[in-house]
Amino acid sequence: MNALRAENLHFAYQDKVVLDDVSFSLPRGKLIGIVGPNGSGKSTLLKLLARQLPLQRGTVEIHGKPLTHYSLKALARELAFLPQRPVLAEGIRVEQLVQYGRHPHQGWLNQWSEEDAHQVARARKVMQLDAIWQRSATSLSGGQAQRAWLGMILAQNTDLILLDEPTSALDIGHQAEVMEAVYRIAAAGRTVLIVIHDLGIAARYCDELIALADGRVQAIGPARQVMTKALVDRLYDTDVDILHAPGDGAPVIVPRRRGALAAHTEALLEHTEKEATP
Amino acid sequence: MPPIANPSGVWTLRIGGLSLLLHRRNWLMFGLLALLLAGLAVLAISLGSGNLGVRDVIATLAGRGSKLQEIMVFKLRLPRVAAAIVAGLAMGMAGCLIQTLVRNRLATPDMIGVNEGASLAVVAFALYLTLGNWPWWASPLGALLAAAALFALCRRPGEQGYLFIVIGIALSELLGAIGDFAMSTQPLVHLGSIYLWTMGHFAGISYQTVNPIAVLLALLCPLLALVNRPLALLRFGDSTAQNLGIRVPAIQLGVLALAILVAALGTAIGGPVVFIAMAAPILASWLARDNLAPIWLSALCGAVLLLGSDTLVRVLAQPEEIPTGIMTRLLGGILLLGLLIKDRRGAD
Repeated sequence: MNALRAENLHFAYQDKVVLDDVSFSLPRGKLIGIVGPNGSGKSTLLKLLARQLPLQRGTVEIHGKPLTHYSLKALARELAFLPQRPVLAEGIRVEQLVQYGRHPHQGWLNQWSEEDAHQVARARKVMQLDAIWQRSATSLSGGQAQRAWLGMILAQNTDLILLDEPTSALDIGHQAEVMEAVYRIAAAGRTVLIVIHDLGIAARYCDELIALADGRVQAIGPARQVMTKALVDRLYDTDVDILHAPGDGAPVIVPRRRGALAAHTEALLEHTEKEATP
Repeated sequence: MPPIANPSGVWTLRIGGLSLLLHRRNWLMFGLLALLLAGLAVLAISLGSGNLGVRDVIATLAGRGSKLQEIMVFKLRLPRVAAAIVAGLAMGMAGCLIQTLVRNRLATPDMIGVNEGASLAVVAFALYLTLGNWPWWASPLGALLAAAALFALCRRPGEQGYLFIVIGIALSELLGAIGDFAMSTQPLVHLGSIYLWTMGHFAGISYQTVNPIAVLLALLCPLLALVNRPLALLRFGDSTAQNLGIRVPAIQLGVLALAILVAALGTAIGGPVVFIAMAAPILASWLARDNLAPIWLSALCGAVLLLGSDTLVRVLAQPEEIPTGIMTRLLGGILLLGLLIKDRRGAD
């Protein structure tokens, strides 16, 4: 059974159509990336799936049960969502942040169970939070803060995890730090759906990709099959080269300078200049 | 079976399958503040005209005082002390609810028309309906009417916290102006007691006012305990709170309604004492450190601040009568300045 199935999703803000007839399903235990240009509806799609926005048309099923049949608390035990710029409450420590991930499993008279302790300890280990466990969350670097948030999401212990651009605004080192953490979550058997801006990172880490443009699914499938020059050119209205990384052969996407001819002429000019100077 | 690992800084209370987390620092501070409040109350009762020592007060409270001492303690001093404590508790809680809800340390119930609504109702009763006097429920009624007007003006107040505050400020101005206008049409002699009340004043308050309000507040406490945890999660913003299973609009609306109710009850006793609702939650979160919504600590802070201010004003101004609100403004202002300057140093 699929972890999540979306069918004929349609969403519009007033009369601006953001998603148009979007359908796909997510196989269990895979890391699936959503890529696409700015304004293609990636974040809206994620918010719809997490019920942060109301469904206007179409259906979403989680473990075969319609999204709207879950209470919010029951949904929070099946699906975890990390928004693009989560707000940190002032003064909170990393430990507390991770513990709050247990909230959907707790009640007013059941505030700390053995399972809570176990899941929090596991999240701490998987996200490698030992060194920052007692630090104030507002004092962390971008990558550390993101790992702390992922710790909260992991402590929530859901089968489905939706992440909205967890690597945006991070440098390449922190991007790798966060993606390694996300990869570990998926490797532990969770279904992770992640919006990523960086195509190279997406191609390298994701099992499958969903390419969105103009609110429609343009391509879907295993990352290396989806990431073709034709698709990338069309998605972003540009002209790219796709190289292959040494080692695993993952696609590396590099934009061409405007017009190959221009580049060629420039190289020629440089060459003649060098020859001219004695 | 190995013992369950507890979060740090927490006591866990287990009864069968049930478990409660008690934040150690939070409850230690709560105990200390409760002791401080009790000490302050005894001191406040002993201070003033007449010869009444702290020991006499304790003896009288324990039922071993003379007839005269009993009259002084139970008839003269205790009502005022109890009034300041109950009003302070209410203001501290209301302030904590509002500040946490709109995620702004400078927000208070005063800003959304609660005080002006209460004052306007008292002015209306005193000048036009009951002539010179007003029933204890006049001010909560006014505060609730003002809140109802605010709800009608913002269609979905829970989802637009910021807009709610801004419209509230405008409404406060309007209500305040109407109240001032009504007062300005009257001869000055009629206005003395109303003026004192609108400044926040605790002289001559009887148990008839304090008791019903204390009972109503106590009835609201279980509801406050129920919203405490979801309210703390709202500090992480709407998306994260919802991700953790919180019905955000419902909780926001519920907290707002509770905040207005509690604040309205707070104004009913001694009038709209400003600054307590702002200073108490700041002090409480400073004491509790990482408690995200320290309602109970904030309540005690409010009571300590208000009783302290009222006692100070009573002792200093003797035999004149200065409204308590003037002292809370002074103390609150100094405290706030201190905290903000300290914050800025931390940020630099």
